[in-house]
Amino acid sequence: MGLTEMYGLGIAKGMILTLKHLGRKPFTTQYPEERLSLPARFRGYEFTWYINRCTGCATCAKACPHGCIRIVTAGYADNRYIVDTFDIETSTCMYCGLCVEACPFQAIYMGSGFERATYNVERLTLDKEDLIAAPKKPSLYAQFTLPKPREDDEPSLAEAVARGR
Amino acid sequence: MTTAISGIELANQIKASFAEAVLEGDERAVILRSEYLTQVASFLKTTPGLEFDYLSHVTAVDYLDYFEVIYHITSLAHNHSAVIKVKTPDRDNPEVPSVASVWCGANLQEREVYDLMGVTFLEHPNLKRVLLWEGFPGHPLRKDFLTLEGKSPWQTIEPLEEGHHVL
Amino acid sequence: MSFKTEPLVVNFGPQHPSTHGVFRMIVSLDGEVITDVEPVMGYLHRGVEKLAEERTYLQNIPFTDRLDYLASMSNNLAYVLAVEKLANIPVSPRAQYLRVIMAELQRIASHAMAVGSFLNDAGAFFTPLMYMFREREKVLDLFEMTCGQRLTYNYMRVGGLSHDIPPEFLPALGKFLDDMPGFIDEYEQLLSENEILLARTKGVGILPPQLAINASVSGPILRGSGVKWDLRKADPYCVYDRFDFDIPVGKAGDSYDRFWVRLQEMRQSVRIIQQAVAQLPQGEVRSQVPATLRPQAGEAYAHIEAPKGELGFYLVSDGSVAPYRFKIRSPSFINLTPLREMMVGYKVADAVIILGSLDIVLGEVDR
Repeated sequence: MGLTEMYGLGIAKGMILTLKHLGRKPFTTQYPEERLSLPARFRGYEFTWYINRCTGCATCAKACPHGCIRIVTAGYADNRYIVDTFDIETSTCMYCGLCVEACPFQAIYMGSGFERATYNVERLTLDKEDLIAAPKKPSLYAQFTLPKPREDDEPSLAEAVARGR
Repeated sequence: MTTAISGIELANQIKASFAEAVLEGDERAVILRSEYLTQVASFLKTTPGLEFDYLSHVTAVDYLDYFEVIYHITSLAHNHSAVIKVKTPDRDNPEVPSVASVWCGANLQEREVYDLMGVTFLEHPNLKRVLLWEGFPGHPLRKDFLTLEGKSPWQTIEPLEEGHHVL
Repeated sequence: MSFKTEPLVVNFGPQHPSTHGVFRMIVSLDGEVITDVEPVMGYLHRGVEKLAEERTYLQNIPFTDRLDYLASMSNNLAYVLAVEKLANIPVSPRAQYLRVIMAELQRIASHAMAVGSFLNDAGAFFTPLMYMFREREKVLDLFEMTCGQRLTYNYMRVGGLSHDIPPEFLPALGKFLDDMPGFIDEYEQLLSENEILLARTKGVGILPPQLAINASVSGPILRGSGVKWDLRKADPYCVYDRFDFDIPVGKAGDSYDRFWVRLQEMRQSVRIIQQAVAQLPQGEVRSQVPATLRPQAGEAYAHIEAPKGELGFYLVSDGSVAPYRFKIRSPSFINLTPLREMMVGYKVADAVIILGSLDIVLGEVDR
């Protein structure tokens, strides 16, 4: 069969398919107005850090492939280091989640946020105060064993544990 | 399953035709004298029963005293593979004959090895840098690269003439 | 009657939509006919091989995500297979099956992107690409549910996987597998008989099988040239020897055949996943591996059939926590070797089609 004999037939077939799609529901969501629900394991911004659980051992800092976590401790008391500085440089962070996996005390979690555009790169560095004040929305990523509840746990962690079970 | 031909067996086959060519053969690989590389490569490619027609990859490792250039070769017809290696003792001016005339798939890969490791491939059709730019100081995959003295690599881009812009 | 024209040198790229990234071709033209091509690359060179020499085996996994960023799962898989080979680490059966499921889902997503952008290059502006994105989106949703990211998964671990799949994964996957063959039928109805596409791709960029083998190309490009070579069959890794699937091969080795092979491979991937889900065993997904792995001195080369071709990792260990040498055998880079032979003699408009049919990802070309 020569190309000229059937010319147009294949295009017509494709067009029929396109026409069929006109009647279907659209697949897209209009982002700022409509939002998709995120899966529980989503690894995003808004690192959630529980100062009560953190002992300042810096395992997360050593696990980070980029070295974007900086921890400075001042003294040792009550079986833990006193954390003086806890900076996460989210501008170089690649959200691999290895710090969360490494934490032996389950003190750090990935967050569930994804909208953190700023006009200034320096504001992407989260320091200790930012982390304490940040909304606590821990992602369930890397919770191989969910933490044993402790008396001084914040309510958001207890909620996450309940959600993960 | 691809059968890996042991280096000892392959070394014996090569020795039958090129007595001088083999330095040693162990379980994993055959180590060749570099001056025989091209001849052995075409021998491996054309000998019935071996017919290594596919060069999987070429790379080099810096062992500080010497460079080792490694060729992973496969035969699609017989579904077997082998590893051949060449050592270059001269660290300042490492030279290995190119196998691009035997397997043209070596063309880009040898250029990459030259670029990043600084091994010169003799009689390569187009030996120039491929990932980095011409004039980049040193070869970054060498173990001593970070201790090189001199300017930062970023300062080697020639400044533009007055009135020129990068579009 | 022939005209003699002044030779003209044209730069394609580095910023050109048809190059799928920052890739530059210096094309010499005689009229409209290509007389010479020189690829120029390295604009996205990040030195992953050097960076990897200073990081532990675990920390290198996120870096492999960023090579072929349209097929991160495959990159993860090839790397962890190499480390497991180097350190002799066993992997549980459930993890093996899940790895196969993930790798094949990734192949569907990557081929959907490859076919879509190829058709985009061929002039079917964005309609087919959006169809393909619809399916890719579903695969990405499955991945996001499993490991929390849509592009850089960091999912495989030495000795298994980072997580087991969540409970909602298998129902969602079942629905996807039911729908997918219908979607592939749609693509075929939309495209494979389209006369414009046939006229633009049939007989364009012919790569003869001898040259394909000699130039070390791999993946759909090698199979498009009629060479029946697929590492999943030729050198089965994971549990690929337990599945029944075909290797589609082309006849002419032109751009159309490469496109056709990719479409058929998506069908075969669906078949493999269906079998893997049916056979999926229970059990652990991660074997006990020390946090800082120190493989004994030695070397290992592991390769897989990634969506783009043979992806291999050659690791040399000196017994320390970091690899002594970390070499990536990247299929996209090596598939560019016969670019000149494929392009010379064709029209300048075909250059875009031929490059599109190679399906390069610059993150992997430049590393």
